[in-house]
Amino acid sequence: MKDLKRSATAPVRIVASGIVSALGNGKRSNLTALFNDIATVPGRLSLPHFEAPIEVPYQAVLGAPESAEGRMHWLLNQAIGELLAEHPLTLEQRATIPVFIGSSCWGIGIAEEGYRQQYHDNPETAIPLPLDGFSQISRYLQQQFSFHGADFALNTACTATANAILSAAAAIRTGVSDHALVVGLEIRNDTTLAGFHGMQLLAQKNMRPFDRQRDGLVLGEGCGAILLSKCESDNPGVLLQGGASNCDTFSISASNPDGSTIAAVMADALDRSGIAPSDIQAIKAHGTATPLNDVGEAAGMRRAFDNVPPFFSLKAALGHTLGSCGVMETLLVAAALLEGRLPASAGFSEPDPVLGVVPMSQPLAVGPGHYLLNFFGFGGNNSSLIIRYQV
Amino acid sequence: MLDIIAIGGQYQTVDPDQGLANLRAAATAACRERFRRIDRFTQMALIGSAQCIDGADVKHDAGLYIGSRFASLGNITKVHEQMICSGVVPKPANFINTLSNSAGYFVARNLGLRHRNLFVSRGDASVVAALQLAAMDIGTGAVSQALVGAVDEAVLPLEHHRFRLGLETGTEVGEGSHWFLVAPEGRADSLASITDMATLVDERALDQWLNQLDPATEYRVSLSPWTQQRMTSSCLQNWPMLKGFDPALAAYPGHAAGALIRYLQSGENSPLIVIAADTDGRFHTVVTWPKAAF
Repeated sequence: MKDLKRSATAPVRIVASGIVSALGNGKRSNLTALFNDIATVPGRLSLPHFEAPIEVPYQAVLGAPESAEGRMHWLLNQAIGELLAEHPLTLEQRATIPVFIGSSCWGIGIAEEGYRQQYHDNPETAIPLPLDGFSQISRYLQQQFSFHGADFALNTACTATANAILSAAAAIRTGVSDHALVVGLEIRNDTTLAGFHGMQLLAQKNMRPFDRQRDGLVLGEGCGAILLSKCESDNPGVLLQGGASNCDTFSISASNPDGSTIAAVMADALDRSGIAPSDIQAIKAHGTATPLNDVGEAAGMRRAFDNVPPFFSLKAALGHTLGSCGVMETLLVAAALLEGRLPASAGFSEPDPVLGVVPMSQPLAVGPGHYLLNFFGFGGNNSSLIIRYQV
Repeated sequence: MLDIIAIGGQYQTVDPDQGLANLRAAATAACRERFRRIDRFTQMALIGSAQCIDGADVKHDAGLYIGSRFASLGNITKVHEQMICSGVVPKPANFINTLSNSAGYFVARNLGLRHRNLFVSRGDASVVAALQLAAMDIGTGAVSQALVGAVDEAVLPLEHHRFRLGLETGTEVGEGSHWFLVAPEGRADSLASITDMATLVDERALDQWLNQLDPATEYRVSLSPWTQQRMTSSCLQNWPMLKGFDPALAAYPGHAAGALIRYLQSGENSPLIVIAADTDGRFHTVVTWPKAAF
């Protein structure tokens, strides 16, 4: 990396993607499920290793191996496999393409299993966290798919892959590479599930973003991958117009509920993209169905837009896939745009007058234009992406 | 590429008999408000970052980039010990602190940084990844300055820690919080300039990369104990313009960052090449030219 060229507005396009989630394997299965309102009722997951057994609602991927490492590899195989089938990359390209990875779990599940086994075998010699969790995904991408370029394991909680997308675009815009790979992965693990359970953030049964009866989130697992490439400004498809991220120091576990910092990141994203609020056709909300998130996000949208555009959340369908939600939700929105439609807000049925906004209750026919995607995370990390769909 | 305009941080070699240094007083002194329930990793980040920017002109839109191999290792191991050995659900504060960007939140709040805030890991080359992210964001104008840190804490017992780091038994272990305030190149007040950062797939690629250096320039080279273990003994011998620099640091993932800081503090004029190996056979390099070298 030398002599970075400055080109903040050079066009960047989503040229290929792949996904596996609780809705199925591949974009087709996921879109079919989203638009047919299939499988919005999560399953239940038991965590048997605690003093008192815990059971949580969970959107699990079907068909994956049970072991954490096997599950991680299987998920990566599905998502990267779909991406490479769409856009084959030569070994020479894979050797140098930078790879931006986002996750909240990383190898923590593998570490849990390793430590638990060691402790069972001999408590005296067991070592907690016996491996380097952050490197597990990159290592598999190198070994299985020959992606040897500079890797960036980003962990900013639920904004990890949204930030990864911004950094990947920056790599292309500064001439580091003509392509960049963004990968997000989340798999079940005790630390995350018990942690959210302990914070009392989980719903009893279903996830209901922006709904009057919402009572918390449902976590989910999955893997998404996007290949971003340098392009011409008039190329058809879905381009990353721009975006922004900020750090809200109001509270470590939630953005300011008055919506000011959420509005600020949206305004910054719009400004950097060179468009006005009125140019936004629709918003993919973060929509986690926690009381504080939805209040803050609704307040932020009302501050940022004179007329709040149609908006929807995907998390009731996918589950909240934490660090990987940025890439998984962005690629699904892009795929839906290419079909000329956006799904209704999953899990919503009853408006909450306190919020002052109501999400889409029906799918929306859409056309070329700009779309905004929000992602907010613990640690006050907020990200907004703006994509442009053009024909 | 990037100018370094301020540096700072803390480092300590772990005394196996004394254990880990208590950082509470230093963290309190570094903070503008009282932070409760922060872990040792966050304490280190607060101390190092505050020392770096003391007296520096930090722009309002400066980004924050923290690199680390394990993030809050001490907290995570405690959570896992309680969870896996005793079936205890993590307490909310402890769970939040397992998130790698908790330290970034507290540093941002302490220093008034409310813009781009990233945590990144790439093993012992995490500082390289963090500097690269900062360079790209500065390149696109997302930020006009970046505060870049490499924070790596040691955790007891040391034999467990050595195992995690792949170090031989008895290797002296350190920990550090090393920080750089960087800006676009071309500043008159810079301490040094970073001119190249590279990821090389194997030792052969490293050899080819070294081949493009100016053979008429003397370069100092710093390798961590781990990196020295990963390289063949003859790798650097082909290049007579390379002369070793020993930063007198123990083994720890932040060695590359610590070496860079010590080199800039040494008053040496030659350009420095820091080479950090990862656990997948790759090598990551940073080339830095002290201001006097121009």
